[in-house]
Amino acid sequence: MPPSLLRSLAALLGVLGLAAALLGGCAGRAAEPAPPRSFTSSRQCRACHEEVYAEWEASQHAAAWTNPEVRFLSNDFANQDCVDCHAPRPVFTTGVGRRVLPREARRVEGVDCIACHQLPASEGGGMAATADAPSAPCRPTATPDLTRAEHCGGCHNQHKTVDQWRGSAWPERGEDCLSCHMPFRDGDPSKGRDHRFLGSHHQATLNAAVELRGRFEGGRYHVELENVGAGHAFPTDERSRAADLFWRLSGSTGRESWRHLYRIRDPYRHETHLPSTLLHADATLTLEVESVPEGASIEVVLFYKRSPYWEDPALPDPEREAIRMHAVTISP
Amino acid sequence: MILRPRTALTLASLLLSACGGGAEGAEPASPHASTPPSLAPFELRDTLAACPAPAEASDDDAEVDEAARAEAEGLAILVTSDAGMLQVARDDVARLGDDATAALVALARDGGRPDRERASALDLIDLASERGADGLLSLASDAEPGWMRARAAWRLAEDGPDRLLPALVLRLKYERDHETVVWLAVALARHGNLAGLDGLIAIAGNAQSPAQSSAQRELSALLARFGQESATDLWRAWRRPADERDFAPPARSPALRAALCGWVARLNEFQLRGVDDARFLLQRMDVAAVDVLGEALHDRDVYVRVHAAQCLQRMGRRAAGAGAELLAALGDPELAPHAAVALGQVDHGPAAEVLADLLHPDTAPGLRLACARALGYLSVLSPRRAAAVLSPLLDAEPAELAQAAAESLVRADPDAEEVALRLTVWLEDERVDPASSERALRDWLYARDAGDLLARWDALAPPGRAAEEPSATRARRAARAELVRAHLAR
Repeated sequence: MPPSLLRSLAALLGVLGLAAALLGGCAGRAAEPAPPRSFTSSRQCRACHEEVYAEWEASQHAAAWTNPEVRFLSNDFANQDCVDCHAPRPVFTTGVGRRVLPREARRVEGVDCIACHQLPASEGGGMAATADAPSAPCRPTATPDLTRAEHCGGCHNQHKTVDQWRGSAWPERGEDCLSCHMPFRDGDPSKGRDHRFLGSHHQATLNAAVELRGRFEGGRYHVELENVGAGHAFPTDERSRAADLFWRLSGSTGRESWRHLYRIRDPYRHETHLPSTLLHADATLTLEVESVPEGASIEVVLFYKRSPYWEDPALPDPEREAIRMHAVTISP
Repeated sequence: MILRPRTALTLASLLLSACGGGAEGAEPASPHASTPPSLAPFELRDTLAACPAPAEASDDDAEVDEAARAEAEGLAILVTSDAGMLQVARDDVARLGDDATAALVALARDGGRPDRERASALDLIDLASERGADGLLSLASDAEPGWMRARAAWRLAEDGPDRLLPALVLRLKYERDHETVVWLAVALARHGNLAGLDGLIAIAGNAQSPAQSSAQRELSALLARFGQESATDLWRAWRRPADERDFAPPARSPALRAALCGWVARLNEFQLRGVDDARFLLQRMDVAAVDVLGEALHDRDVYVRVHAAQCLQRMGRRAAGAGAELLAALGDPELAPHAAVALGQVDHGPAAEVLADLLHPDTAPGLRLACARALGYLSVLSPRRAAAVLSPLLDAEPAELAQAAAESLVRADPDAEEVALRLTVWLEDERVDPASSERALRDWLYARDAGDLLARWDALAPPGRAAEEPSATRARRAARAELVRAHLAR
């Protein structure tokens, strides 16, 4: 073969090789997932995740920064120590099982999609999910840590809720945070998990936590309160929460008719004179109502408070200031 | 965080300036970047390892030599019957040493003893000894009833060592007995720490308080000592000192530094209970803590770094000495937003142009927002310069960035009426935090000396005893917005 032809053939092969390499490279790139989009607000999630977004938007996580009770108790976040959990950086950035750190931006979005799902940019970014979806813009990545109790614990174990659960029989029964607070929609795993984060702001969930019983025995009025439905103490997490048992004579009405029987609460740190009276998982509290006029029927009511204080501590008005949970009438 | 080109440039210039400037022939660094950070960014080191170990707490219940106990009890009984023997008895206690001190602490705690005997035991504790000072601190912390804590705090106000300052500041968080609060404040003030001044002022003005007269007397003494006309002036001077060393004595003990280092180390605990305590006391300390916190900005642990920046931010002008370290901390991606906010609060003038540069769209959103917020607090920022750097953000996205720019503009310029008008819109916009604009507008009215208007604004404050209904909050904010609009329309 003449050298010129050889050179021409070599050149042709070179061009073909380069073309093949380029085509192959392109084909290879086309098969790779696109880099995840960068998300700066959870509002950006709504376009693809409308149902989940709507659930979250109505949840207490979404209201973590704006809830009036939080604003009141934190003095409009003048107590800056509250910011850490009420506007946290992404949990996966600080580390699952570690304490969260506060963020500066979009605090008004509270505990948002990004806080729970955003994976660290240093590890490729994307969003933690239960399955991989490489072609989706947020690039969901199956991340088992997303559903572990430790994922919630950075905030919710600050008041030992996760420890309370861990020390109970609930983990052995296979019941975890998600079982109650993020159940599958309609009980169907294919429908995904409910993002309303049902808790004490949801009356049915709240009521399911405890059972109130009463009986007249041996001439005495006995009251029992059992933690039957919370896999942690009742109340839990927030020292700002309290549950109060009140009683009054059946048929009586008005603020003055109530008599305070017992308060269930973990006090604030400065309230060193108060004991912690939390009702732990599966525990039962037994009380006796005294000073009841002979032969009278009484009504015992369990109220729940999201702020521990009464407007007038000397004359609380539980029906107006608290949430009625359970009631029982005890008659001789 | 991925460094955007502009941000990387700014940080690189910071780094260069820290290393003594760029290569010969390179373009000169802009004047704002010429302030050299005192510590090289990106190089984190474990500052705490260099701190002396904190002293171990003494154990009140340690076994005590029986002879010393008997002698100490005898001295307490002697002083109870004859107060004139106090000094002689104290000399004896000093000679007997730690065992006698431990016995006296135990005696003071013993609720079964007569009150006068317990008081005598407390009075006999040798404050000059380490064990004695620790014993008095433990009594001031949790002895019952309240008068025991008050008396122990009163003893510490005599001549307690400065290493107890952090623990005494922390007691302010938990103490509810007024007399004890008064003497804690006095014990702190003795070392130039006025963290207890607000409590002292509140009690001095409370006719119902059994400690009112003590508080009034001690407050007058402090005003005379620090040469201030009124309690408010003294409080302002403490919060925003012209010189951050105004109140601090010239020298502090290594033991105080060790105690502070111990608290800084607690900033990385999981439970916020300890972290909150550390933040509470560190932010109420003075220059002694500023130095330690400035070093902690370079710690390996991100929790220590972030919370150290928060403490400096909350100290405000008292932490001005940490300005250079905070400026250097802008080079730490995890710390940068917190450092930026802190630079504003400590009013570090040299940061102004660095923060202005970081307002560029390529800066990470959290840092950009923090810079916009911080600029409003820098006293060196003239209204004209503020308008030049912040006005372009007034229509920016996200909305909270525009809001932050508007808030900083009104803080920088009492005459920024058009911007104030914009801020009234944020009062009713739930995409942002309206409470933030409420604070900025309130500060703006105060800076304008808008007496009557300010009074009407304050009359629309939320009720104090319970959470406000959202509809009531909206109505209240709308009324405040209308007040400002009506004022500006005139």
